[in-house]
Amino acid sequence: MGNPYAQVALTYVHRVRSWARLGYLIAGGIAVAFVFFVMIIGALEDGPGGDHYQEFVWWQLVPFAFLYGLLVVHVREQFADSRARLTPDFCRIHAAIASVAAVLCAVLLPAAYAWPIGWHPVGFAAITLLLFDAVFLAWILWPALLAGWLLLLTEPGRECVQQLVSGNFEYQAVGILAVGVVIALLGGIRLIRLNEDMPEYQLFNRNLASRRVVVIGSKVTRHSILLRLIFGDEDKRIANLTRHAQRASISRWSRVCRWQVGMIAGWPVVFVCLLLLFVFCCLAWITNRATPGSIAFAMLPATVLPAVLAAGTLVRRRKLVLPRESLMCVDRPTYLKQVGMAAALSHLQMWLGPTAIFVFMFFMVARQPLSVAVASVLAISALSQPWFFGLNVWLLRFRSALPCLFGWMVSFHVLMVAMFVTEGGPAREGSWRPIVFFVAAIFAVLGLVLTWDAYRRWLVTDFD
Amino acid sequence: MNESAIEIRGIVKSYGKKQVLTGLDLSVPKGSVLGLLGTNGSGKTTLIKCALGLIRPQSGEARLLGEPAWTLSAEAKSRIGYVPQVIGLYPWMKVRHLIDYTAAFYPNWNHAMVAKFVREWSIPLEDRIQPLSVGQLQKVAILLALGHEPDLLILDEPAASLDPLARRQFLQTIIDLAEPGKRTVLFSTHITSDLERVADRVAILKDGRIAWHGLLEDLKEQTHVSLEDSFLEMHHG
Repeated sequence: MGNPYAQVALTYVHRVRSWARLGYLIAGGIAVAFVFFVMIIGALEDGPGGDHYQEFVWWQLVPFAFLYGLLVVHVREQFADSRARLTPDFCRIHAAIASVAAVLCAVLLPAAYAWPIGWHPVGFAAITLLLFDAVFLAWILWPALLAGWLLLLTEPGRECVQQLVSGNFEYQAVGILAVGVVIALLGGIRLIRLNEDMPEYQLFNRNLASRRVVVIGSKVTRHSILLRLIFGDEDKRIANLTRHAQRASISRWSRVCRWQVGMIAGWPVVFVCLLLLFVFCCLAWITNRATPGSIAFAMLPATVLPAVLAAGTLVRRRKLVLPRESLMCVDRPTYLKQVGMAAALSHLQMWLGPTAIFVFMFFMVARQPLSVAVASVLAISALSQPWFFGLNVWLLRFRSALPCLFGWMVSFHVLMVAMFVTEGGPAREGSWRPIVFFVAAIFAVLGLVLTWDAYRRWLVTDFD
Repeated sequence: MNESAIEIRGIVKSYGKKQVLTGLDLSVPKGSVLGLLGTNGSGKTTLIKCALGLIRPQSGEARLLGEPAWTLSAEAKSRIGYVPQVIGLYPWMKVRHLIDYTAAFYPNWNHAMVAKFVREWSIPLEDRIQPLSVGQLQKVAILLALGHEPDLLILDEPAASLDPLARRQFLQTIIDLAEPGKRTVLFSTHITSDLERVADRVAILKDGRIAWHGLLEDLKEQTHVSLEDSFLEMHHG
């Protein structure tokens, strides 16, 4: 095969095939298909005017966002490389294939997806193209894009989305599509001009990005006040590490705490919680939906996601120093147990903090004791934490972050369905609650089993 | 030999407050093999990247095969081969796929020569890139840079991770490729014995400038010591 266009197109195929080889794509695909099947039934029963129908539109965007993330990462990596500037016609050919892939994924696929559900294909494609632009240009236009998406969350914004999907805004949909194409083209031009002097090059280049992660603790945190507040003062924490190391023989707590360098723990958790409180207050103000019901609805993502993302990402970052740390004077099982305990502690703190914030917000808005519904959501959130922790440490053995992201997405969707089933949708009867608790309890038990299995596997995993 | 394959004039490059190249001049005649020597952090990679137009200097100009490095034409690019210091190849691809993919961009790709190197260097065609060792990766990167028989070959510490056998084979390949004025080769290295074996010219980088540049024989005649000793003398007074 000597055709350069075919060879570039094959890079996409090879990459997808390498994921499929892991089996995650297939397993995840089946899980997502099941989740969406349940949601579609619920939404259709609810009808176009119902609350869940609207929420259903938003949740449909999650897998598309995931797909766009994969596509954008693939294209960025191709351009953030010396080959892009030194290979003849590289940019022209890669840009052509990337454009075809973008049109296929951001316009044609959503349109084909919307049609059998009864949505307006152009309307839904207009929304997904904007989503693609947001993912594609997030690194450069994030304030504008964030503002745009916040506008969509407001009452008129949601109404607009509803009208687009229903097909009442046909001309507007075409206009949005045109704007989306222009934004994507501007991003494409920036990507074609990418060179090593541009700040995003370091982020997109596969090798430089992994080196950047290694130095994040030593360099980035020293320069960025925000990151310093989130990650804590690395110098202080290293001083604490020394202090804990000196007292290592005194308590088990000290032995665990000494491995917490680089994880979110202590005061940074408080800062993250305050940041979350601020963000959710802004969101509530913008969307004008600060009601007990909406807080209860937001409670699951708001309590689950910070812990999963922060703890998961930082544990992955920690993986880079495992070879060096494992050679310190501690045997492997003890080292793994103590690092695992430190990570679990960080995870717990990152769950407790946002949960406390949300319970506080609920009391402030509802001015009544916790309802059974809110308590159930909290219980589901709590029961799911062992699962997410186990999933993180189990999947961490793989070099690629993709299985982890996929695992988070699928698990989170299952939880959302659990909440959807508890609070309404296909069955609003209270008799569903025990089933949901049963599912959540299975999650918790599976999480513990997964954690134990991860420990067992880590004992024989290469630190490379 | 009077034309230059690489022409660098007054290049200044800084990263933040740190000035790496301070008005550097360098001219590499066509058909020569130039070894670039310098201590760690002396700016060898930055110089090579400026020369290739991968990064833009704050001032000065770099020309490659007669064209400005920053705006190289496709024709000029098809005559350049480059092996970076940090090798980034697509990890999900098989070596065979990667060779096919790269070959598709070069009309004059020498399939027979590549097949010969694959055999001689024991490159595992059916393996994916991800599990390859650093040395194997380096072999693949060198292969991809040589496949289109470039007129100008630029290598940033190409032999650093190769085993003795592969290094010998690689150096022999460079010698064969650079045979009397056929190609221009610029390579940076720490290994002075490699440089002595292959290069006819040497440039020593110090404090962001070229401290010495000329024929290797001239340097030896002037200093009456080995290249390594000359290098050490230049850096320690």
